[in-house]
Amino acid sequence: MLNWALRSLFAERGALVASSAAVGLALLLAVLVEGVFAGEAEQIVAYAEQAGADVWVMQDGVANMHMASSFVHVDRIDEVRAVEGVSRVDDILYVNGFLGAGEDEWFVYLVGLRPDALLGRPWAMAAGRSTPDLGEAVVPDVIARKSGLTLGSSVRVADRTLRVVGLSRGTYSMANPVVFTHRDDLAAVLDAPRSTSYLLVEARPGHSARDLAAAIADRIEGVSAMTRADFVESDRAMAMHMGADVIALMSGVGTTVAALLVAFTVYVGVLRRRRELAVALALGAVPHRLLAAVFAQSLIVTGFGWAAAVALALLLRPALSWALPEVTVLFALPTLLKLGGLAFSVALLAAWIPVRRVVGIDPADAFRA
Amino acid sequence: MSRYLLEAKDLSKTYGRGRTAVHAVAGVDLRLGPGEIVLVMGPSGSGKTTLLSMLGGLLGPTRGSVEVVGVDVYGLPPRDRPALRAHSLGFVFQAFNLLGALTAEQNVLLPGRLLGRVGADQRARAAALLEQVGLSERRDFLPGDLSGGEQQRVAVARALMNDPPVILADEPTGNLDSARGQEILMILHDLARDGGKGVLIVTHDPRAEEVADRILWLEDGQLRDRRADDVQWAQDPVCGMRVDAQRAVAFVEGPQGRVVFCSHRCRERYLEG
Repeated sequence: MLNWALRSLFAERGALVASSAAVGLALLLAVLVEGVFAGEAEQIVAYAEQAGADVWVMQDGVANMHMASSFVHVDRIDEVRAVEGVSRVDDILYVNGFLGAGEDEWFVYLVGLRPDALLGRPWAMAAGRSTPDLGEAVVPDVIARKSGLTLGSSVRVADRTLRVVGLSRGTYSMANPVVFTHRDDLAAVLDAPRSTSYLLVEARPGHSARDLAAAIADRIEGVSAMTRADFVESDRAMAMHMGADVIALMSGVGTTVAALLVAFTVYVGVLRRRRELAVALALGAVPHRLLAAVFAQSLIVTGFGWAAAVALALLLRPALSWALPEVTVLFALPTLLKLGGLAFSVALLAAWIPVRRVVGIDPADAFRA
Repeated sequence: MSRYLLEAKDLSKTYGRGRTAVHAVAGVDLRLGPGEIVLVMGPSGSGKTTLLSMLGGLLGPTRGSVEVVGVDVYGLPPRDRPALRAHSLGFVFQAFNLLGALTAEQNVLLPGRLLGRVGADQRARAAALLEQVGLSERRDFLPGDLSGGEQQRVAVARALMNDPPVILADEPTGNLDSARGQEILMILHDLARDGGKGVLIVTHDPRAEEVADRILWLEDGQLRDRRADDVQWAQDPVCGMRVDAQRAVAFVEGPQGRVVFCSHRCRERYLEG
């Protein structure tokens, strides 16, 4: 019956293409949602990942940047420098805020840098300088493109007007684009001249980040210290937790639509082949062979749909990046495989109802002309 | 063990209950021996398909039994009946019922595959059967590319694939023109005479009487045996069907003699004018 299942599926090429396309489009929705989710999950921690720190030091009790505030007295900078194994310490002042760009308002991470900082600066530039001076700002190139900013344009932070001197790459995410200013500009806005937010620590060669973080937390009062990996994961978990419900809902909708389409496709196929299934039963086919045949057809349709969805998603990605630069789409192999596994599981489940129709087919139908 | 290949005793099928009960088949006794061709004829709605389905192990009777080569079909657990059908019964359908995606050869091979039989000997048997029905040249054709007569010949070859002792044919000439219908009847005839198979044909086609050993008349669910030449044919004036004037249950006596009908429905229509 497997032979029949394959041949009958491929004999009706139009129906196969239509079914696979329908399933593929539904899965494409799920793939894109997952891709945006994965892309945003990466981008949301891009700054913590790329800032160059082996260890992040912050106010005790704080474990992330996302939706967090950290205030550490500037005296702690020298204390951290004195810890054995520390190669370099740069501090950043950080606050969530709004960037005014023409008519647009952007919710951003504002990072105040010292002019001599090596850690915490933009790590890739599209144009201009990476380190802002007093009265200057470096903005993500995506914001510049969306708001029509160029080098020399003016932007607003609180009551200050800053001149754009650099356009950074890789610093944009939908949740937290990063805008860099001079530390003193941000300190003036915050009215916190003796405070800083995070100390970015570089370890000497041969010293482990984990040991160094433990040593700093142990010796310096009022701060906590985390390795970059731990800090990134903590930040990602916080960010994903806040957006997970929406993403899960969208992913669920995509998967449900895919499941319904698979079920509908297989159901229609079973109805269309009802007579042939009845004939096979009359000739002596055992029901479980027919079930296997119908399941095989369901899996093949889903497989084609899945392949089409992945191919389309990969083809669409450059177009998406061009049309929607603010959206980062990431198709990681494990995510695609996970979705593939999910799709095949859904296909098996979705085929269950039509398969029950197969079991209920009356073989005597073969006699009815 | 029974000397009959197929034997039905007191076979009955009732649909519904109480006042709405319909007795599609009522107390039918039927025997089919080796090399014998038995025709079952009767008006539409007389229960022919129901009878054939029960004889083929496809529809459980309300009462009675069916034995195929001595095996009580409905005494078997349901899970064992498909294998009995595949081994012991060959089916030929009015609508041919070939699987459209399979070639002629693959259709013929199907009953063997249902029993897990694959290999060169099976292909050789399929080739021989296709040659027997004159379709060697069309073994790789899909059913859609074959004529009705060719499709029915493939269906006959398929029915013979597992060399079953009993062939059940439902209106095998119903969708064929006169010449093609005659070909199929002769193939069935040869299967009985030369192959020793028991062939039961349900049909309206009077040409089939020429090859039959016995003709059974099914009407209102009941079966009556008669000889092929023991018939006085008349034509139903409403539907045009040939009717045995001696055994017709629906008739009216008129000034020019008795007018017979295939069914009470036709009689009512006749009387309604």
